[in-house]
Amino acid sequence: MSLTPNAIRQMVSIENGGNNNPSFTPKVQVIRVIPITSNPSSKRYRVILSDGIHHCQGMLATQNNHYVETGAIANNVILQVSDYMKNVVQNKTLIILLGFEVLNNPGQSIGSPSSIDNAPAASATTHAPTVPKTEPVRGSNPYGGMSQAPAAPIMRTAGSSSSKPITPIAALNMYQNRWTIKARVTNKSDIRHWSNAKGEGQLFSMEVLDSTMDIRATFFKEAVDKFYNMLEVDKIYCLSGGRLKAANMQYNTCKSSFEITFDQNAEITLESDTGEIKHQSYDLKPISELDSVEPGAHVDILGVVKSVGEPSTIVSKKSGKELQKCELTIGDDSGGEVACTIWGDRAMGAPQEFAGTPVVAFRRARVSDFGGRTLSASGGNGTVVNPKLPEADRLRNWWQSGGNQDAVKKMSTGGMGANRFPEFDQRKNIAAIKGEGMGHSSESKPDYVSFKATVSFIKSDKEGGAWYPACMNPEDPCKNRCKVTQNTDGTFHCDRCNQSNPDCLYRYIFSATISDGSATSWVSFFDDQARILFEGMEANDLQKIYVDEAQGGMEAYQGFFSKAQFTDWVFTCKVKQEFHQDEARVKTSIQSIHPVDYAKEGRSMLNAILAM
Amino acid sequence: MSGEGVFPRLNATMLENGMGEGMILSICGAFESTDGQSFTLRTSDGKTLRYAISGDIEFEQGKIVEVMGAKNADNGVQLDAFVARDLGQDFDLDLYNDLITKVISSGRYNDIFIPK
Repeated sequence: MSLTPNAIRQMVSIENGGNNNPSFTPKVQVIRVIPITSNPSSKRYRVILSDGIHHCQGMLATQNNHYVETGAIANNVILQVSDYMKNVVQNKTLIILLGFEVLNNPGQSIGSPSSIDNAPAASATTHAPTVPKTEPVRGSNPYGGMSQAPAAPIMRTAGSSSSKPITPIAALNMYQNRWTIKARVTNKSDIRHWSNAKGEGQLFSMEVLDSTMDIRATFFKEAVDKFYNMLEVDKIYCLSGGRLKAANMQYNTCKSSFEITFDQNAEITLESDTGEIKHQSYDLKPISELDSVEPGAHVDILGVVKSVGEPSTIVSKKSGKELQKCELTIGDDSGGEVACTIWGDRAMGAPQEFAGTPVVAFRRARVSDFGGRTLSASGGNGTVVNPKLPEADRLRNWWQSGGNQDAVKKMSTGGMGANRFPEFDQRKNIAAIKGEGMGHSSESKPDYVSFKATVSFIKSDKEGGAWYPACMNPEDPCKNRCKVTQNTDGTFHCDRCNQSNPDCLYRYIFSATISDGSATSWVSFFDDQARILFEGMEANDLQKIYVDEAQGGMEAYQGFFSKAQFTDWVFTCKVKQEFHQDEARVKTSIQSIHPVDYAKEGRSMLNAILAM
Repeated sequence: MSGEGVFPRLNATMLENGMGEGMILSICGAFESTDGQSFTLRTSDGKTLRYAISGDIEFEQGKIVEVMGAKNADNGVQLDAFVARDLGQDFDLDLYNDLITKVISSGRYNDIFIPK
């Protein structure tokens, strides 16, 4: 294995702070690996790199420390470098190794390399002064006279341009007013404007991370103009002049118990990236342990995207806004598999972005107990495809060497999402409602079950029609759902919002039986699903027909129910215990109905038969 | 394989291999072309069969049908067609082909599909 000639010269010749050209992947030899012991809490390894002709100083980026710790990188190993950075610290050039492949180890150093720092510029390869090859470090002493621990200039923040002592984020506290932190921006929000009784203004917030932890910082008013454009995600800055306050845990998901406020007195300077600070901090939770996570909590997840659903648009019941979503199925090597929903613009492009089973990191995904356990991914840059993490490589290896065949522990059950189409393999049958004792598992939590079945009978003979009068108020708390009572003057009064309206909104409510090959069950239908059953006919319109003989009256009304009888649907039902006086009864209500696509069902059935 | 009301379900390949000899058989496919006396059917395995019209058959190009017929290899046709039943627009011919090849004629489920 020969080294790439003049690799060292080429590597040190790129611009400061710059990254290498991706087509340049030199083979270099690590003549020595030197652990830096000056800072016991953070391990770093210095390296001497050689191409057989010259050698230079370098550092191993901390995310690659495990290569040394496992022995993969030891003295004299040859690497093929794919990604590195060049930094200059106190006039000495350093190559930071970010990405590489370990090749072989010839057991001794190749050639008689001399220090590139002393080499004359260009084509000096044949005239490099010889240096004893066993101790190139001590001999040339690139740190210019410092005789103590070799890496001190890197670890000590004297490397920073502000030459102030840097406080680790974990050490920030309310007693210390003047501090400087050096951190990487991991997240930056959009500028938001506010206007309230006290006045108006603008703000944006960001999260920064150093080698200890992350913290949230918010910029107000003039600071927005001053710093918003300057601050770039993924770059490292020295920040000072901010004020600390206790973190608002409702919105703040950073590790620090504080958050920073910056106004126009803040001082922020761009720093060079010496590779000490990770690109993103993740506190990864194995997917199979999600059942021990409280709903509402946030977790960091790293997993392989096993499949991507179809993007869809739903109307939020809370805000009335249209939301885009797309569901991914994520698995990791803990054996767990969970459904994760992506929201917003990224949802529409999800089938393309997450194609090809990539490894994806989800930062601060919210855990919901909807359908067992499901995740909701923060949009924006909280979700990273193929992140630069050693864990990502490990996961990819697991997947490619058969992890995709492993048995999975499904954290998300089939009943999640109000209108999610129940896939064939998640279905049961009607007999399972009683057979599995559904509705009894917990006092408050319902069971969900899906199956294909036929509507065998609909109870339409309720006096006045198979509906109830509901409040016309579309806002909270009624949202057109609360029952109203009729006043003597014919108007409808709602106890919930205390309003009276001349009209009411009729909404379906009736019982029916549904049957399949295993059993029959009584169920309740509510308005949303009943409308689908009646092919869009709204209760309000049907009610007008019902009371008007000229439009058909009772017969026409019955006609709709007859037409819906013996129709097939794929049902998702909610089975729950309800208490009447002292009695507890298990009640089944329809959560969603989907028309049967016979060809699709046939295909699912055939596949199931062939798999038997 | 046939009994009262039970007819073998074939595609062109199965017919070529000698199945359904001497019986009334059922072949599903799409109407391709007609010359008034005969028509061609694109079968569920993508091949073409020519039928002589021996009954009341309403040809419509592209319509997916089940043709009941019998082998009759003369006059340039392979089968006589007695009746064609409309299968509708949503009929999945690929699924049907998998069904008749991988399930029904696989031999595993003879007790379901073959009358005793």
